[in-house]
Amino acid sequence: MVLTLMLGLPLVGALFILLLPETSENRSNIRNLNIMICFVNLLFSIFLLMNFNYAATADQFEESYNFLDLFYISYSLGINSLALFLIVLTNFIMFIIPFVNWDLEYKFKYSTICYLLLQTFILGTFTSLDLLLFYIFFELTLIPIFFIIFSWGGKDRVYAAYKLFFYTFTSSLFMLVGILYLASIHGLTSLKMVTGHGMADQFTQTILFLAFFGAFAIKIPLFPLHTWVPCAHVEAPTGGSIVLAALILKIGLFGMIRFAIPCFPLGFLVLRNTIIFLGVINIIYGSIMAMKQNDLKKITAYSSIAHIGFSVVGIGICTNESMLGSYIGMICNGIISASMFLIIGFLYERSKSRELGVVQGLAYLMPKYSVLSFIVFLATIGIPGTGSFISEFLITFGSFAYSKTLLLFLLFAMILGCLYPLKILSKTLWGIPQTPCELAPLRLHEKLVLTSFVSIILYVGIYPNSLISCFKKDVEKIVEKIDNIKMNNTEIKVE
Amino acid sequence: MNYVFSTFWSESILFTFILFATQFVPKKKEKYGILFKIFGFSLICISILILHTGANTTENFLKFLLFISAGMILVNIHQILIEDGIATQEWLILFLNILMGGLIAISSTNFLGFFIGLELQNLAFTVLSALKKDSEYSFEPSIKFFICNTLSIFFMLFGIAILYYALGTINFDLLNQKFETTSYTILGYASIAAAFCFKFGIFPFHEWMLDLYKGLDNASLLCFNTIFKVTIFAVALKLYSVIFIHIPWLQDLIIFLCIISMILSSIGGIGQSDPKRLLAYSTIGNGCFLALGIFNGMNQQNYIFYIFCYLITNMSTFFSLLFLKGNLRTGLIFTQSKLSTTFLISVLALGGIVPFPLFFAKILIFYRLIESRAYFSTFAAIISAIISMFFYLKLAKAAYTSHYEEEETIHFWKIFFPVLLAILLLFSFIWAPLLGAHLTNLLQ
Repeated sequence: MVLTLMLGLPLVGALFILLLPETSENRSNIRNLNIMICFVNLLFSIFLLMNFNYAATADQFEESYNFLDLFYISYSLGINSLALFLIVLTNFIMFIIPFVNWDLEYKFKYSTICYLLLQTFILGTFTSLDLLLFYIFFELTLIPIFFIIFSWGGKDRVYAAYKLFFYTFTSSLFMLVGILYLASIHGLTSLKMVTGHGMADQFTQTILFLAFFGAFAIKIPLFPLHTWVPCAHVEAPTGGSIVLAALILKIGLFGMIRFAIPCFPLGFLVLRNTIIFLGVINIIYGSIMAMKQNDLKKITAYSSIAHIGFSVVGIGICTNESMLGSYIGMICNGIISASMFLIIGFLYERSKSRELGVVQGLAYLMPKYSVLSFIVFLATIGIPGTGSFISEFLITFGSFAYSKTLLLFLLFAMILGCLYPLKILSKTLWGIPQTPCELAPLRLHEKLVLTSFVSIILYVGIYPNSLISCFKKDVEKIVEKIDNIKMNNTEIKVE
Repeated sequence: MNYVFSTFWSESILFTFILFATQFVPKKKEKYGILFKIFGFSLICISILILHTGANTTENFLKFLLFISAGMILVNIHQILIEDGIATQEWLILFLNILMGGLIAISSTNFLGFFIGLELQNLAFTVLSALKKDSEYSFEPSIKFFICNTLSIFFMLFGIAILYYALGTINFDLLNQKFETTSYTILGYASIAAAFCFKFGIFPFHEWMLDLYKGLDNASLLCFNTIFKVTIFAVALKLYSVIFIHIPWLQDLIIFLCIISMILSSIGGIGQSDPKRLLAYSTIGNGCFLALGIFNGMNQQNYIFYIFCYLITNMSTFFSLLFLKGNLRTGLIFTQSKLSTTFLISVLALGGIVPFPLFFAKILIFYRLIESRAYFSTFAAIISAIISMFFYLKLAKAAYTSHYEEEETIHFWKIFFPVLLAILLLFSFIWAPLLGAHLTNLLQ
């Protein structure tokens, strides 16, 4: 019941806010209500964290109602530890969003509603145990983010919103067909039924895996299908960028780990080399493109693409270490890219420019801001002591067992990955302010938000064991399943 | 005896209504509004009666849909007719005749009743669409509609005559029993199939529909898209169980044509800027998608469920378009925010994305396609869904861009009905399973 409550609260809150009139006096009421809802949801996630049994591998807090049976959907929710941390991340980021949108005036009420709806839908994707229910939430996330970009975005917002919509809509329809194929075999599409039943043959699994992988690859985003991401990030408002980078793009990787790989292990084994290849291309391509850009948001978008490439490679390698690394990478990337967008948003509010090199010498102008952004950019590089180092290290370590060539590529990619943050640092924080301009220092809520992000990055980097011990069991379960299948099917080409 | 009574009482009441409408209309034109509302509410009452007292057959549900949609239209349409300068009394009578034609076509047990019903609809609609006398465009679609539909009905009559010559009967049940493949029966069935394609707007015979949509006034368009369409969908169901089920190659041919017209309609919609023409393409696409389902052996309760969802979505779209006067200016969201939001929701719902009822209906059809291993059809349906989503969004986009002029806003109670429909669309995940389960229980 706790999961349904958690999902339902933002939805009910959104409906309630819809009934409130949008006046300037009401704005603070709406904001307070929003913060309260998000805070209660944060409490829910803390409750989940406290009551979760980390020793067990089965799904917990399960609940199931069958009122949508007719459409082959069962409303069944449940979480494992992999979903748990993403839920905490979601609730945390969504708690931050009202503070980010503090100064928003244009249709404030509807913006709040969009974000609250988005929270429900994203939580839905992380908690659903039924494939079709997952699909429904997966596609539902599209509508609020579409409107967020469409209504509160930049100059080219219409184009960006369309691109986002069509990429995701196209790929997800193929996933729908895949799910309905499973429904036609098993009757229902609950995760237990699909993973528990006898496996289909290799060809069918490969096709089904492709259908799922296509949908997730666009969300991740993987190399040839990534073009919507820079567009969407550049045009989206700061809040939208944060949600997009930190949460919506993580649905893709989560879907891979939670649904695609356990449901179609044979298909995964057939395609894993391709996945690793695409992941490596993502890292190299993302880093090179990030170096070429001048718009700070575009740089962040490409850096996010590059970082997510590491996680994809980790999933493709599929050893205990690499999987752990890619999961930590997912969470860290969420927080790092969110904080990068936040930093850029703060700068943009003050200087009205996102161009690299327009405002220099921030270390003089805004020293406190500069310290925090310095740490974030170092985390992007993957300096030891930050969370992204742990993930990159674990993935690189895992790649030893897979292939030495891959290891070389990964090392090369890591070097590439440290160039563009340094470029940003040298062109924004350092240097002498060219024009005498005064930038307002960070306000209290802005400081709080940014500091909390930075502290999480450092915490994961310094004491990763506290996280790893929590989701180790679930990762091992997936890897063990894949290993077993590898042993039993010797004809599959592994190397 | 009971069966015959339950089949025909609704038509009898409707006939009385038509008589009333011709004889006892008030002299003052201002009072027509009340008359429309009384008629509308009585039709809604009849629809509820049909649901509760009639036999649980597919025909009765289709009749229910016809009555309830007609009732809703009558309750809401009067003001629009006045604003469009259309003679309301004539409109009412013709509209009821169209409804009558649909009912006869649905409840007939032989091809003759079928023919009479469709022909009655044709004639009534021809006049109805030409009622807006001050517009030169309204005459053109009326004539086009008349010529095209008379041609199609002629094909049907030709087919019926040949069938009668070959098999000695035009009763559906007897035709099913006596079926044999001779060159005569094939010719007869094929010409009926051609007529069906014409009515449905399937690929080589779809052009008339596009022209019709462009020229028609809004009220007639609404009538065409609800009453007329439901009748045609009902006809498809009946023809499938009588004709197509026996002749596999004809089935395959129509499935193939449906696939082509789905893709054509989605591609054709991209370049269009006129909202009505866009909606015409959307109608063709949706209809062909439904036809794909029925020709792949989808069961009747799911078919009715789809029709119901389609009807609600369409009514919501067209009503909001009616109140916007068919004119999608930029910046509508600022001047008429409720109405433009309603329009946006309806258009997204037409695209069949997630929380809306057509999504659930789409799941049922996709499931059926996959279950019968019709992968090519599935693939085509996906492609066309993606492309047509583009023009649905294009329709929505017009309202949301930011140039606008100040304009009077419409009073909320006037647009209450489309807003209500939009709310229904949004909360479909509550009623869709209930309705689906109800239909499954009753029609099994």
